[in-house]
Amino acid sequence: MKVLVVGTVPPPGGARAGALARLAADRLAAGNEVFVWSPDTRSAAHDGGSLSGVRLPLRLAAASRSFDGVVLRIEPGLPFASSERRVVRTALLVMLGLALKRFEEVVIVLDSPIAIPWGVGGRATKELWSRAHVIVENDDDRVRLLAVPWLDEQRVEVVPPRPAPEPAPPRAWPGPDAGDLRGAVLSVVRARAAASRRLEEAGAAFERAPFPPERPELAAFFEAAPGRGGASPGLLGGLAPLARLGGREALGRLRRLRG
Amino acid sequence: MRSMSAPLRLAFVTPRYGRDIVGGSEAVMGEAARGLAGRGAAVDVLTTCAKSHYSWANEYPAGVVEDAGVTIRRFPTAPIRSPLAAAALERRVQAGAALAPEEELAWVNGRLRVPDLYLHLVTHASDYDAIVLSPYLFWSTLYGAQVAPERAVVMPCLHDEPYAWLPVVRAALSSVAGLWFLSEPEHELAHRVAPSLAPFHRVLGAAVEVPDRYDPDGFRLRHGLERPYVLYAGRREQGKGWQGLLAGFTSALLRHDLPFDLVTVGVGAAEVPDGLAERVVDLGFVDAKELPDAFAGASALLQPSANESFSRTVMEAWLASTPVVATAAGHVVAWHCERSGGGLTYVDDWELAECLAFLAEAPEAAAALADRGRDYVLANYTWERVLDDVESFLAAFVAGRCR
Repeated sequence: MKVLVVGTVPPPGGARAGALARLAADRLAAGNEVFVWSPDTRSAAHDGGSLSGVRLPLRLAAASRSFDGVVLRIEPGLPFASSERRVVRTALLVMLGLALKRFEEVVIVLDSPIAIPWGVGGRATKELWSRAHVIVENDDDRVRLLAVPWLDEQRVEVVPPRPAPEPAPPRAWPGPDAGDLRGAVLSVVRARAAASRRLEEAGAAFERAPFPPERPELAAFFEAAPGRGGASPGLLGGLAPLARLGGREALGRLRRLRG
Repeated sequence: MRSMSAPLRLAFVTPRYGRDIVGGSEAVMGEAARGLAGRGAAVDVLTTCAKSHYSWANEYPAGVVEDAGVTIRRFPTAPIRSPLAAAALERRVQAGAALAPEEELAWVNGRLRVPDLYLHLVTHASDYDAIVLSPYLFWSTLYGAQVAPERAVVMPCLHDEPYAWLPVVRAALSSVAGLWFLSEPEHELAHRVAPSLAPFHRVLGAAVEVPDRYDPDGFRLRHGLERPYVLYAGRREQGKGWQGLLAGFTSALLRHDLPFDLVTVGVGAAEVPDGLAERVVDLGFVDAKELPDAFAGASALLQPSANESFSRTVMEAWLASTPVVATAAGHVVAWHCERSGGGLTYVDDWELAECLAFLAEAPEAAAALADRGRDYVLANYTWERVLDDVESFLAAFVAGRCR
């Protein structure tokens, strides 16, 4: 099966990004072909770039021709900005639902608190939930979702965030009577420092790069080449460039096309 | 004390001299001069009227005074001819640029000039059996050593820095009759800088006075220090690693729940950022009599400078049974730490943070390290011991010159 995973994956994004990456890795280990889109261009993803607003449903619809299944993490900014207007939210939910219908398998991963403005109910969400298998982090969110009339209880799963692995306990300092006391102390100093350095430098190396990129010409480096899970050709492929525009500008161009 | 069979006549040439002068080379020269005078040598100190190595302004009166058996001859510094050009040359030297010979001399003349001291040597060099000059990168040494190079012993206090690699420095190290090194790493560096090193040279080291007693509680009380502290003692300058230490200490506070404040004593503006004001205590210049108490009251001495040719503060800390944490980039101090088995070294802020965590979490082991440092200083770096070596070196130097 060819699966598209959409959402922020590491290095940025913290524990939830890590959880999505593990989910993608599990699918890969199960023998599927996996392709990852991340809205954060610093991610170790196959493709990236803007996935907010109308871009996401349009790109998903285009991708549905190439993928059997989709795992979509709804996170802040994907696809909703933090204070989305109601009419925009409604339109996006409808478009998202319609786009997801085109996949054989749909998994939606919801952060807690759920990043859908104005709540998970509403008729606009009907298509979104109708076929999705939904993963939430806790029982409270499950209860909220089960209040939605067109959501099948069997398809809502609670998967608590996996706790971060316990760090190995730091090595103990030698006692004052150790033979080569200085050598023994320095050995522990270096081991502890190396552990801290690995963690901090690994994160910093990626997070030093600004996001979004400050130089637009670099955006092309983070977009997939044709045929690798990006927008496919055809009508929807023709809409893909519009998908990269802001919603208003895209509507404006559509109106001009219509005359 | 050993007495000498014939009194030596010695001149010590140093850019600054005085009990309130803060500087490693100056301290060694002053203590060696007074120590040898105490052993019967006839010692002149030839120095300037300057107190500050930033301005070189004449603050002491010119003329001759006696102090602790030493005759101090002070000469006024001459005004710098072209400060802007001097600053431009300084930047080029620091960047490692190659200078033309006349540019090198212009650089030497761009900071400190003491023509009257030079003229004194021209007239009186033959009055001295040996002329000891230090440190390497000042006019007083580079010019003074050329008046009577057959009588000159340079104590370069060499660091691996751009100045050391200037041809004029190489020429000085090669052309004088004797060299006095403070440590084996310095000696090795000198061989790299000047392959034709003056053949009569020895690692004599330096020494520190051993205090009779310490009063750490009194120091804390006088200065309102209620929390444990780690100490930085020295010039608060980039070249001494001060800014880097501030950054490293900040990182350590973020990584570990450390109980220490950072107390700093010395000259130069500390420039503590506002965010650190509650954890960094700037005591400024502290009288030399109080310094041993400052060392004794500290949980550790921090030495961030890569440019040390001896590091008396490290020795003084160990004498006070205070642990030492030093940058591994300072080869001389790292050498002392390894030889003594009593000091910790760090290569970056992470390791500094872990060293500070060790001090907080394992104080008994830290005290055991400090004890090893104290034993090392008492065995190697008291004036009693070092002056024995200096006397025999100078006696051999004079005897060899007279053949």
